[in-house]
Amino acid sequence: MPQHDPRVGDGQVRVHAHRPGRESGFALVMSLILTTVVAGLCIGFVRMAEFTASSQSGAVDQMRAFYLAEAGLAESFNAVRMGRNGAIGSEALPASFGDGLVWVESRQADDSRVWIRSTATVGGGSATLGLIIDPEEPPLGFFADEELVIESSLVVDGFDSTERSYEAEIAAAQALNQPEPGEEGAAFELDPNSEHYAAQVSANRFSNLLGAANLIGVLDGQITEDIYPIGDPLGVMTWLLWADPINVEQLLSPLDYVDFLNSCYSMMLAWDAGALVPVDGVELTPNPVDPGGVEGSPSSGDPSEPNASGGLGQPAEESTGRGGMLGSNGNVEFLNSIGAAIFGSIMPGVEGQVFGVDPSQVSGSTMSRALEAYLPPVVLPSIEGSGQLEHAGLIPHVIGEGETGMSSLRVTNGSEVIVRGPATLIVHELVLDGGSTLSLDTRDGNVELYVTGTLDMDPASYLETTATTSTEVSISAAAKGESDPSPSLRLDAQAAFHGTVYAPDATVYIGSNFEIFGSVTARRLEIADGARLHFDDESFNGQLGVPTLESWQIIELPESVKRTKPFVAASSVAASNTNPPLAMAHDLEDVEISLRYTDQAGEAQTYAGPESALDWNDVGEIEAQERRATFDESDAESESRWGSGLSSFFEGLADWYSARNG
Amino acid sequence: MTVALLAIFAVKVTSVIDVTTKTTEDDIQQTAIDAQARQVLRQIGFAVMGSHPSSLDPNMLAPLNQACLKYQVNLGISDGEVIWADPEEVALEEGRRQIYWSDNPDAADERRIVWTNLVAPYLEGEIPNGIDDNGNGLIDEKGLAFSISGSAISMKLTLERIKDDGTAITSTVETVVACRNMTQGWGTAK
Repeated sequence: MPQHDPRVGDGQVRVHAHRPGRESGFALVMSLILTTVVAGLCIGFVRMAEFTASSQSGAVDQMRAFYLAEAGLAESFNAVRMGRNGAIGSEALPASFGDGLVWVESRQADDSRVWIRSTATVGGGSATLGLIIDPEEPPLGFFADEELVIESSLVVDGFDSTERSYEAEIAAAQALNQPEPGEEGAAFELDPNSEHYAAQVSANRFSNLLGAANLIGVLDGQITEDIYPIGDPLGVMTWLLWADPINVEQLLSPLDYVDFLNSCYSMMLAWDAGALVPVDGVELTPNPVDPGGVEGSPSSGDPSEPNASGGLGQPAEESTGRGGMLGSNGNVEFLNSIGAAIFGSIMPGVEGQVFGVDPSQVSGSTMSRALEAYLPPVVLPSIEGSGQLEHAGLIPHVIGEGETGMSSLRVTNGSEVIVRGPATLIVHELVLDGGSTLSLDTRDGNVELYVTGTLDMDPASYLETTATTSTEVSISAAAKGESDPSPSLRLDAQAAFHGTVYAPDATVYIGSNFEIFGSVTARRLEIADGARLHFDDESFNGQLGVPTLESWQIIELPESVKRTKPFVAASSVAASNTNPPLAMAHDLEDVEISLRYTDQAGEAQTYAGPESALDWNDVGEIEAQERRATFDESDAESESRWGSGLSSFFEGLADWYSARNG
Repeated sequence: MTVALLAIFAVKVTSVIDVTTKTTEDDIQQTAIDAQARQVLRQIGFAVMGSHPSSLDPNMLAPLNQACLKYQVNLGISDGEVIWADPEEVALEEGRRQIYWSDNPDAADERRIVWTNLVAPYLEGEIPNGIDDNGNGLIDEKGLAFSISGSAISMKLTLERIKDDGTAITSTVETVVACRNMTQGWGTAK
């Protein structure tokens, strides 16, 4: 209610002038200021958040691109392992992975190494990584680039030294060859429910080796119980095996004899218990025994005897019965096939053939190769040395660890030279006279022997190795200069050689007493009568080896990627629509594959041709495979594929390296 | 009256702006130091990733640790030989609180690049008393700490910025990288 003003009369009311416009303006101004301040702060916060997010997302994109490039390298590495060339996608059509893009370029150098460059982009990040790998080729067995000539009888088989020794492989093969229950050839009945079942299995095995009657004769008359019941747990002997009238030790191989000692007591108990029941037709009357062997035992005759009639028959006792490999880029020719036994396959060249051997003498395939085998040249170590050594003396001469170069090494009659590993010896001329010995001691490391001229072993010389696997000793041969004559290797010493011989430009002769447990690769391979070649598969089993990683690098982005950053974002958006997934971006058109396999129906099949035409769904189990990728090695192409950035990088690197050495 | 109101309002606005600025400044500094810590650690990781484990020097297994690391990276293949670069080093210079990368350390033509000036004297939570105070498995580790196990290099880093009021803003990051070049060529490298 308005107050009364005494200055005005009754009945009059004075009303103050009201100026609402001034107060409202003040509030408005204040509000505007406040709003502006708050808006400014908000903008500041938003800008800061944007900056932070952008900064963090850039770093995250960079890391994602890095790891995507590594994924590209891994994919390419496995592609090379599979026999492909390692290229994945292209800059024009990269492969997609998540919301990123990746492409991998590859090139094979003259030394067979594969150089790989993987470039990836994710959002605003990009990365390029480089990898140099050395694809490992599986061993070719006993292989000639031009022609493989075999004079006469030989035995070829195989084993895997990374799995077990050759001797153990033979024992395993013999165990596998034991007659199964009910199978024709079993001398004693088998009862899986009997407590003597293991003894029955052993009895069947040894009856094959000794003859059933002779085995029973030994069990019945030559084993005596409780002769030496000694209390010492280390010396307890509760039975004794007499050596008369049948000396089992002379009749069995050492390994078999040990097995026989381990099982003969249980066999005797089984015989005494009546658990060894001869099958119908088996005569248990002892036969006269030849002191040199037992009639019917594979150990009593010539190991190659089953082949004399022209058929392979059962594996000889000294053979593993499997895994051998003779091969060539040309023909494989047997001058006289009598006594030849190939427990494995013969693979002539693409246009080559196998001459002079009956198919029944080969347990495996004689199919031609689908692709010509590539034999990379020997890379000689840069070891200088011009010394000559002619060793003649009773005290062995030791060539110690490390690198040694010589112009000639001659070991004379009655003398010995020991090469102690780890050692690399390069020599132009190496001669072993009759009665001399060359020992390759690999107990402390591998021995690598390089021959640039001649390796000549007298048939009366000896080559000894301590190696148990073929990777411990290698003999490589190559001429030093392009105009130098090709080396020649005459491997004719008395030897049980565990190692590999690689001489793609040399003629190699293998003598009859030079037994090899490994592999030999030569331009021309000549094999003497009676040779024994045991291919060490080195766990490849026909499969492809894992490449060796030799260099991993972070390298400069290609210029094209540096220049076209917008491309990155744009292509990332398009990634999910048009770009093939990483695993599907391999180009299969350039891969030739040769395959031996069992299909889903269990039928043996072979295939040779481009992988793109092979239906992998039909492949059940692979027996062996071989792949060959096509690398485009033309300069122009490689320049464009690798880009000037990487080429100049490696050129610069080479210059730097030269300057550094200079 | 109006003047009073205006004054109160001005004070309030100033106060709000001041508080907001301080908060924002702390956030910005924390963000910046976090980003720098991650960036430096990433740089170190990329630098040593291409090395061979046998080239790492020193080579200390936890709980021992080191604030410097020399290494040699793989440059590729030339004439069939694996080429290794001259030694490089990532190290903490304690007096200057710097992490630097050095090419050819201790040589006449040594080249250094400083990657940060904010390294804390010791890793966050650690004091020099001979025990593992922060429970990370390392003892008395500096602001930059390497420990090595086989081909894996574990690296930890604390950056620290001292504000005007004497308080510190810190950021601690860690990672493990594996040496990618497990090649057999190291033994014969020239």
